[in-house]
Amino acid sequence: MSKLATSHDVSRAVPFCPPDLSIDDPVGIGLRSPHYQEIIDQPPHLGWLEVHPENYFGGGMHRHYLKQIRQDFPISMHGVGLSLGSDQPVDEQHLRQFKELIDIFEPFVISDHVSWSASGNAHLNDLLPLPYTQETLNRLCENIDRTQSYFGRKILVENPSTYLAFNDNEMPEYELLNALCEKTGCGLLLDINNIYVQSHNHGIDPIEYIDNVKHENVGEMHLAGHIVKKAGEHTILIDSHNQLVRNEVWDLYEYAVKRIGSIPTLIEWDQDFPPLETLVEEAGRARSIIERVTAGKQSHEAG
Amino acid sequence: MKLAKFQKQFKETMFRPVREIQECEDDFKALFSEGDISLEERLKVYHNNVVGSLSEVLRVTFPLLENLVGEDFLRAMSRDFIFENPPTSACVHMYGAGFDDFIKTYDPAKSLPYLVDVATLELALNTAYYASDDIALAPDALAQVPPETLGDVVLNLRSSTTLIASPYPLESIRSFCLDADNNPAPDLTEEHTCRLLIVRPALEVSIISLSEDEFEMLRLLQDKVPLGTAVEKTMDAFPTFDFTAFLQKHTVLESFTSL
Ligand SMILES: [Fe+2]
Repeated sequence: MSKLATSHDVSRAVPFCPPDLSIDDPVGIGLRSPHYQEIIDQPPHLGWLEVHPENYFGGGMHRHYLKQIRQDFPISMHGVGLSLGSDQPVDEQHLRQFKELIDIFEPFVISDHVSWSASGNAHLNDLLPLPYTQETLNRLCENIDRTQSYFGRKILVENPSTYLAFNDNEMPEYELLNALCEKTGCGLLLDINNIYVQSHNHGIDPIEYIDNVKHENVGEMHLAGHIVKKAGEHTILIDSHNQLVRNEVWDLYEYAVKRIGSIPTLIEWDQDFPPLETLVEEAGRARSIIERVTAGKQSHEAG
Repeated sequence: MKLAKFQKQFKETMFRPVREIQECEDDFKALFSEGDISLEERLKVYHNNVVGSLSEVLRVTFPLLENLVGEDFLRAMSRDFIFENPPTSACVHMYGAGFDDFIKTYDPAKSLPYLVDVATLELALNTAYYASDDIALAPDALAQVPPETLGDVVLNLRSSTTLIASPYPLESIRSFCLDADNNPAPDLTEEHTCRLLIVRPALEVSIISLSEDEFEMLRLLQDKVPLGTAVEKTMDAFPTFDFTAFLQKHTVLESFTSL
């Protein structure tokens, strides 16, 4: 298989990642502490692992395990704390600690979210929603620029799940994402479950969404489980990362792979952890979709 | 509305009780369309995520408190703490500094004064667990220092160190909380100062019980008092202080960082 991580490295000013860090197998899972030992003892059939850098800002046990695991797996770093959408500059100390980990662990991809968490000195520990306005776009661009120049590397930004709808949106979500990439040279981490959640919560068309994001910007995809919460007579989908990827989301993923191509794909699971085996099986399901779509394309081209 | 103002008002809405969630200003409410689901329901999803996730962080950091007061009491106390002291960094596993001081002022906990020191202990354990990696003083390092300058050496404690003195038997409280079947119930009436060193020499955090003179000596070193003066001051207060034994014990325990 081709070296995936670099296949979408459009030549822009910001480098994506050194070629020697690219991966061979497109599917990975989130690395979480309950599975450290098992992954060291019996490295599972996975192309790579993703970590939240914030969990490794200190020293001790977590870094110790990550150093061991890094010997067997490529790592991606998926930030949850840069707060790119806050109306204030990204925190310098956060950048410094993040960069220290990039230098040690050499992730093949770095990402964070199109959302905000910090206001003033308070950090709300959640990925909070943004109005899609010119002001938001400008602020995100400033913070993405600041991050990319600090890291000396391109980052990917992830589309969010949101539960509030703003009246004064000036553009659809995919347009905001395209503009971010165009203005800063960043790429997209396309979370297929989040697109599904958005389509339910905000009545948008997920196919239109996937068709309209600029495909050449997509450097990674996420898959996760969500829950359905009753709200009066209606339901709201919550991006809970605590269960299997739903069939509707698998279907949407297959569509995305057909349209966008074979992209590094991650199974995210952040609470109520299942056995490692379950995560590896979910990753296997993503791999078989990629293989099926790729084989279909090849036979189509051959025919 | 400007982005900054929206974020400030949203933050204020999150850091107050959920029953007051609708008390946000009209210009804030006007930002959103409700559709099929009310604004209250939508804000509650976020409130639940923000306050719920931070409460969970505190629950994980303070298992002894949870054991002593129960899940519901801890959750209520955590919620009040979170509203008054939101995290200031995205590194949330370090969140909780000041929880011990908060408990001092928390009325429902007044009848359980030892909770404050148990919280201090748990904060120290958490700090040690996540402290940055540093290198221990090699056993022969001080022997390399010329004897005439030994007194000027500043011997630093590990970055993971906390020293705790408490009138409560914190170690017995901890053992009892962790394993009530095999440990006696701690005697909370007995006046007996407990002095502890919390430190992480390598990967595991240690809790080391200290004598009075040893505690004083470590406290002086923590304040960066040079070795000679620290020994002098400790001996003034505790004439029987045995520096050689102290140095040997804490070199083996890896309490000091390399020079
Ligand atoms: Fe995601």
